[in-house]
Amino acid sequence: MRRATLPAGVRRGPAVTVNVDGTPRQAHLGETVAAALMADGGPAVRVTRGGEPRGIYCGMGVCFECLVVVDGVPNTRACMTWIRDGMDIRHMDGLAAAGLTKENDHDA
Amino acid sequence: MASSPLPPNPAIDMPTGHPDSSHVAPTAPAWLALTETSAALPTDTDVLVIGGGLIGCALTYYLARAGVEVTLLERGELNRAASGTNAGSFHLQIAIHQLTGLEVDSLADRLLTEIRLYVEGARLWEELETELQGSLEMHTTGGLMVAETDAELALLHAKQRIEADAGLETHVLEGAELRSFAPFLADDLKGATYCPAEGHANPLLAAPLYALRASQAGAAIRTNAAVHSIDIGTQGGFTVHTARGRVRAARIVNAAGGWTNEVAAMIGQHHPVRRDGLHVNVTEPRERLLTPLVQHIGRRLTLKQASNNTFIIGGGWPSRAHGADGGYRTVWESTAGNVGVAVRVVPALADVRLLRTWSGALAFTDDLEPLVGASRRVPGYFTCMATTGFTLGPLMARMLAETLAHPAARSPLPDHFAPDRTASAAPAHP
Repeated sequence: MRRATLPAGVRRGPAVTVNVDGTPRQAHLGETVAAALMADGGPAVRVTRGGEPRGIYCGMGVCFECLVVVDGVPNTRACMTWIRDGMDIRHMDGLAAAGLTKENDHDA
Repeated sequence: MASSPLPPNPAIDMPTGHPDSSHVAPTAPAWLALTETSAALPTDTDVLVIGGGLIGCALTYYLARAGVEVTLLERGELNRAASGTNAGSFHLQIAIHQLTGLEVDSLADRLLTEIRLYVEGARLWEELETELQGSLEMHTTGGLMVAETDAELALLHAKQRIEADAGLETHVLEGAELRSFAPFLADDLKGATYCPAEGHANPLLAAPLYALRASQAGAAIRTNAAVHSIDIGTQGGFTVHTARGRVRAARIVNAAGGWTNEVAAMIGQHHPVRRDGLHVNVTEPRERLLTPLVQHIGRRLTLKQASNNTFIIGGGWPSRAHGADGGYRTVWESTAGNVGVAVRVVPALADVRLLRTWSGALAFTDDLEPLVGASRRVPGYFTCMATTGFTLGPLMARMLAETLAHPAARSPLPDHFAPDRTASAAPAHP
């Protein structure tokens, strides 16, 4: 997978392991969930109830586009949430974690 | 620039066939045009309805459909006060405000009559989307009313017996039966009644759709037309002076809801009507957790998950009067108290975020009975308002419309709805 490269002189915080959609991934303390997901590759963090992809847009907590499930709590802004060791992060599909979608998520 | 292929991403490369994004709700009707509501007032009308809430709009519709010449005047825009700010619940089960501090058995007769009225009101709602040819986001989901204590559970059993007598189907559920029927409820609740006929609709849709259909049936609907004074004609009839000119009317209906007495005072009348402010709260959308309406027999709560999967939490927590025009301000203690009861009853709401809280109005009569019918003191003057107005409003409007359209026929309205049943002239002001 393609990964973002760091400019010279930028040091990252201590590496920790988080779970992204059930797969262990390396992330760094001092970074946001949004940063970790961007560094991990994919531009989209969720699919709306209407089936459209959404990614990290404003990056400052205003637009509510980068919603993910963090430790079981859906609609959590990836850009406003700090990485913690062992954190469970899931992309969203509609109102639920991706892969756990129920039919009624798309009816609104 | 050469575009490189995107890496696979489970969030966008879903194998399931997502509905096309153009697939949204069925087309909403075109709402009543501003060009109509801002047109000149008619000079004369048979019936003049004052107040553009749910009851005023419904009454105007039923009258126009019956061929009666009718004009509706609204001081601001349609559906702005209680009609458009309530939580949209249909209340059929005997509720806390009908029981507070009183014994159920001593009230049985009054409650029987009331419940029958509510059942008829619900039946009208059932057919309303067909009648008005449009969506009201009407859902007959059934409703639960929970009990937290043994005393409250006893009350549920007592009210269930009266409801059965009145022909309203309710069941008392306890223990394992309740857990399996409503697994989202807190484990330690003592019980709940379930009423299959309860449900909810969207209060932002009902009055505007009534108004649109009324207009299409020939009614004149005018907004920003506050009534300033009313002259009673010596030969009968009324001259109504408004912010937008004068209208002569053979008959007038006071449908001003919480502001009924402001209008009544213009013709020297006073009715047992008051208003209060109340809170409604809405959360972020979450996965479907519950279908039925949830209420509490002993604490103020209405809770539902709307069509768009948000939770709407209300139940009549107070807000604070503000300003001279009768507006209300939110108070955080009410929001906290209201959502506190909701989380107590449905613990899974604990991590759901509240998005908005708003303050609306609530109109009620001193004896909680509707105030619908002809005045005995002022011929040609009628009132139309009801406590629990969202559930009962359309039915009250239809009953009064029958009386107005067929004045010679026997009115379907009982005497205890009469506007001057506890009549007194308006209190003298210094």
